[in-house]
Amino acid sequence: MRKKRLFAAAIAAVMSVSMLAGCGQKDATGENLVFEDATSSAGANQTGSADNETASDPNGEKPTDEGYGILREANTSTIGSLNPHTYINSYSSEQIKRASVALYTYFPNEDYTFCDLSGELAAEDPIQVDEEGKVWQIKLRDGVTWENGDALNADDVIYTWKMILDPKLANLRASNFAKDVIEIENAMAYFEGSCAWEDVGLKKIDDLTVEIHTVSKQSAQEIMTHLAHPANVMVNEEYYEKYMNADRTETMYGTSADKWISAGPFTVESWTNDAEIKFKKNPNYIFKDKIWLAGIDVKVVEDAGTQMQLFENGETDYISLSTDNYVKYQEDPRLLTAPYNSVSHITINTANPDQPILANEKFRQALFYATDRDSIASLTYQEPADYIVPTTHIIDLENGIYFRDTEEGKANEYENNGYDPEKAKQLFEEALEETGIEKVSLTMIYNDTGVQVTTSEFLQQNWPKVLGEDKFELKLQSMPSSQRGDQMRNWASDPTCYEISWGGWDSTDLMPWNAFKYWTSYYSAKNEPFISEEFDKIFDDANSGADRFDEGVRLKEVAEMERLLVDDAIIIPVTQNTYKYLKSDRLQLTMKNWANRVGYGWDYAKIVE
Amino acid sequence: MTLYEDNKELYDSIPAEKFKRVERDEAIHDAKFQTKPICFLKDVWLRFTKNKASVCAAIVILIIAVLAIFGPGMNRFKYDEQYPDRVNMPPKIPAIANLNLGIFDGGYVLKNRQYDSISDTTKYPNDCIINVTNPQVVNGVRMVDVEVDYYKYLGISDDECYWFGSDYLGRDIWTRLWRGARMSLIIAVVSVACNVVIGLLYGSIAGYYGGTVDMILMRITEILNAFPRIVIVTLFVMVAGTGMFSIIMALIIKDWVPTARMIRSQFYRFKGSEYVLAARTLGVRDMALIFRHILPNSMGPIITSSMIAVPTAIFAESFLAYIGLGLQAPETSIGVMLSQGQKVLLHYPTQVVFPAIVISLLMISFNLFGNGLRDAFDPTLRGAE
Repeated sequence: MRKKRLFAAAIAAVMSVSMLAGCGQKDATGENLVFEDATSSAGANQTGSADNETASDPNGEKPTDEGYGILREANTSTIGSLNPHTYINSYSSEQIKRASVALYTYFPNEDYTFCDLSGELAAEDPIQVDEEGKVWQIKLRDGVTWENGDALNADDVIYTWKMILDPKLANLRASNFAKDVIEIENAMAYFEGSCAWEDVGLKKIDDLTVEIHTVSKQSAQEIMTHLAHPANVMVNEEYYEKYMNADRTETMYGTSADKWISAGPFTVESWTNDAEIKFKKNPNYIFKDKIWLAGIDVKVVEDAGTQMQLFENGETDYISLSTDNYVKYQEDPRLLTAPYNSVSHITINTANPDQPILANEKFRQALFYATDRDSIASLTYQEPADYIVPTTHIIDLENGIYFRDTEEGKANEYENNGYDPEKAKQLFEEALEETGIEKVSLTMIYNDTGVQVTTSEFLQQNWPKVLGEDKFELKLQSMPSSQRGDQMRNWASDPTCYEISWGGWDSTDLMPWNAFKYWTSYYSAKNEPFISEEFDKIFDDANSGADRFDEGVRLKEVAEMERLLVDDAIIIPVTQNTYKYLKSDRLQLTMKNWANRVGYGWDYAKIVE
Repeated sequence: MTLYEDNKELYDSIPAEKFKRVERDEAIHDAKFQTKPICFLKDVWLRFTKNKASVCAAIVILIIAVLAIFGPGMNRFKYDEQYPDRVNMPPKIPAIANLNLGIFDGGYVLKNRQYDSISDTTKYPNDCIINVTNPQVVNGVRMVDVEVDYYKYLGISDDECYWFGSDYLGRDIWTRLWRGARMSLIIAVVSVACNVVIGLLYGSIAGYYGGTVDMILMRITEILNAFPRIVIVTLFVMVAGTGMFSIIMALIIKDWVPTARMIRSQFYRFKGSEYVLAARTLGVRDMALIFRHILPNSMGPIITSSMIAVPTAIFAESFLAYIGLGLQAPETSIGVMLSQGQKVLLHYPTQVVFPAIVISLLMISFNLFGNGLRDAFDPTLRGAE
C-alpha cells in the first residue's frame, strides 16, 4: 500500500515538473515557423492583407446617407450629461460634439494631415462690421435642420447663448463663454444678474445672421476659436424648455436619449447611462459627405484589463494603451503614437509657512536641475520635458509652425533635458545658506494610481541622492486624484495644505498664449500661489494686447511667460506624455497622421470589412 | 436498647473461638495514580501537539516570521533601492534554473515582436533567445512571441539575480516581500495586542462589577459594534492619514469589542464560584481578585481568540493597501505589494503570485494554529482522546 502511494506521488511529481517545463521542442531561431495571417483568420468577412483593401472597399467612393460599418469604442469614463452647459469631463464633451452642431468647428483639412477651423452651422468666417474689430457678424447656412426636421436658424443660436449665460441656471460653462478667447460685451454682467439681456453683445440681425460685440479688438480667427468650444454647441429650445423645472434653475435636457435632440454628424440611437451609448449617422447633417461610418457604439468599461481583452477579442476597434500594454505592443505595426497635449510638472506651494525654503528660488531651481527626466521618461514611456509648452502647441496656425520648433522655443530648453546634478547640489547648498535651514524634509502628495506613483517614488530616491541624503528627504503621501486636486486648490484658505505635488493641464494646443491663463493671478482654480504682475501683463498683452497680431509678438510673449515659470522654477516640468493607441484592421483612418484638435479623427474613419 | 441486649442470650451462646479478630497492620493509603501528574499547560501542550495541522501551521508561521526578520538581509539589495534600467525582471534562482524546470530561470516572453528583427544582435544580444512561438502576420508584418533569458537580454551578469524578480522601479521583490511581511506582521501583532489589553480591562471591569456598570459599558460596545467595520476603518485612515500608526489605530477602534465581551462572559462564569467567594471573604481586594484569581482562568480563550484575530488584522491591512490607503512609499507591506502586483497581473504575474502565496500561507496557518490552540485550551476536551 505504502509503495503504491510513493509510486503515485513520484508520478505526480514528474507530471507536474514536465508541465512546468513545458512540452515540445524549443526553437531559438524561429526558422521553422509557419506564419498565418492573423487578420484574415479573425473574421469571415475580412479582406486580409492591405493590398486588396482598396479593391474591395465596401464603403464605395462617396459616403452614403446611411454610412457603412459601426465603430466600436470602449472608455473608462462615463457620460454624466449631454447638456453642453453642464458637462464635467472632456470625454463627455467629445460625445456631445458627436451629436451636436456648433457655429464653427475643427474638421480634418482637405488632405487629412491637419485640422481646419471652419464654419459648421456658420456659412462663412465672421465678417468684421466696425473698423475697430469689436463687432462681428456671422452668416448661418440655410436649410440646416434638427434631427426631427425643424429648421435651425438664428433664433436657436440666440436661445443657446441666452441659456448658457442664464443667471438662474448658473451654468458651469457660462463664465467660459462670457470671457475666454474673446470677451463678449456685458455677458458676464448678465450672468451675474446686473444687466438686461438686451444689453448683452449678442444680437439677432435676421433669420440667418447673428452679431457679436466684443470688449476688445478681435480677429476672425479668435471669434471662431471661441465659438468652436464644445460648450458652445447649439441646444434645442423645445427640448431645453420642456425639461426645465418650474423655477427655471435646472433642466434635464441631455440626461437621457429621449431628452436629447441632435443636429450634428450623429444622432443618439440609444443610451444606457453609465453603460453604453449608440450613435447613428445623421443623414441630414450638413457635412454628411465627410462621415463614412454608419454609427458608433461606445461602451463604458472601467477596467483597463477588460478593455484590452475586448480589443484582443475583436470587440472594439481601437484602444488607448496603458504603459504596461504599450510594452507588449511596442513593435506592433498597428500601434499609433503621437505626443500628448500636456506636460506633467511638479507644482510648488511657495507660500507654505511650514516650509519657508519653498519660497527660495535657488532651492526650487535645485529641484529642477536634480530631476533626472531621461530616467523618468524611460520608466514611464513618456518624453522628457524641461519645458511647459508641449511640442504639439502651434504658435502660427496659418503657417503651421510649432512653438518648440522656433528659435525662441528652443532657447527655453536646457542641456541634458535640464538634469545637472552638480549645479543642483551647488544651488541647494546656496539655498540652505541663504535660508539658514540645515535639513529639508518635504512631503509630496500624488495620485495613488498611474504614472505619478512611479515618478514620485523615483524622485523620492533620486533627489536625496543628488542633493545629499543627510540634508534632503522626500516623504510621499498618496491619495485619490480628486482628493489631491481639492487639497491643492485649498492653498488660499489653508497655506499649509500641501508642499509639493503634481500638475498637468490639457491646454489649448492652437493657442499656447491662452493656456497660460492657469498661472495668471485672476484664474479661479489656481494650483499654486504664483502671483506676478509681470506675468499677468504679458498674458494680457498676448491675449488681448493691440499689437498681438504683429509678427513675432506673441511668440516672444509665450516664450517670456514660459521663461518666467520655468527659470524661476515656479513649476518643475518633468515629462510630456504620448498618445498610444492600437487600432484594429477593420478600421481604416482617413487621417494620415495625428493632428491638433482632430487627433486621429476616429469619427471620420472608415470601416473596411 | 441495643441489638446485643435484645439478643443477649443468643449471642453469648456463640463460642468465642468462632470469632476472628480483624485488624490491618498497614496504614491506609489512597490508590496511586497510574500516570504522571501533569499541569494544565502541559496538558494543553500535549493536546496541541496531537493536532498535526496546527503543528504544521505553527512551523509555517515560524518560518515566515524568521524570513520576515532575516529575509531582507539575505541578498545585497535594499527594499527601497531602485534600478531604473532593471524594471520588472523575471525571477531567477541559479540553483533552480540549473535544473531546467522552466521556472526561476529568468525567462520572459516578449509578446508581439517583429520576426525580422530577432536575428538583430543589438536588440537580442548574447544568444538570449530561448524560444520563438506564435507566428502570425499582422498588417503584412511577421510577428512572433520571443521567449528570452531576460538577464542576458538586458546584459546583466550571471551572478546577479533577483530571486523573486523586480518591480516597476527595479526594486528586489524578495527583499520587499519579507520586509512587507515584517510590516504586516508588526501591524497585525501590535494591533491585536492592543485590542487584547483594552478588551481585557474593559471586559473584566464590566464582568466583575456587573449591574449598572456592566449595563452602561456593554451598551457602549453595542453602539460601537453597530458601525460597519470597513467603513469605520476606511474613514479613520482617510482622516488620520496613511501610515503605520494610523493603520494600527484604525484596527483598534472597534476590534477590541469581541475580546471585551468574551472576557466579560468569562468573569460571569467564575466570579460566583466558591474559591472567589472564599478569597473575597478573606478580604482580597477587587483588583487582586480580578487579575490574580479570575483572569488566569480566562487565558485560554484569550490566547485563542487573539491568534484568530491576527489573520483578520493582516487581511484588513491588505484591504486598506488595496484601496490605496496602505503604508506610504517606499515602505511596503504584503497588501501594498498585492495592490501593485494586481495592476500588472497580466504582464508580470510573478509580482502578485509571491505576496499572494505568503498572505495565503499566513492566513491559513494562523487560522489552523488558532483552532489547534482553541481545542487544546478547551477544558471540556481534557482527556477526550
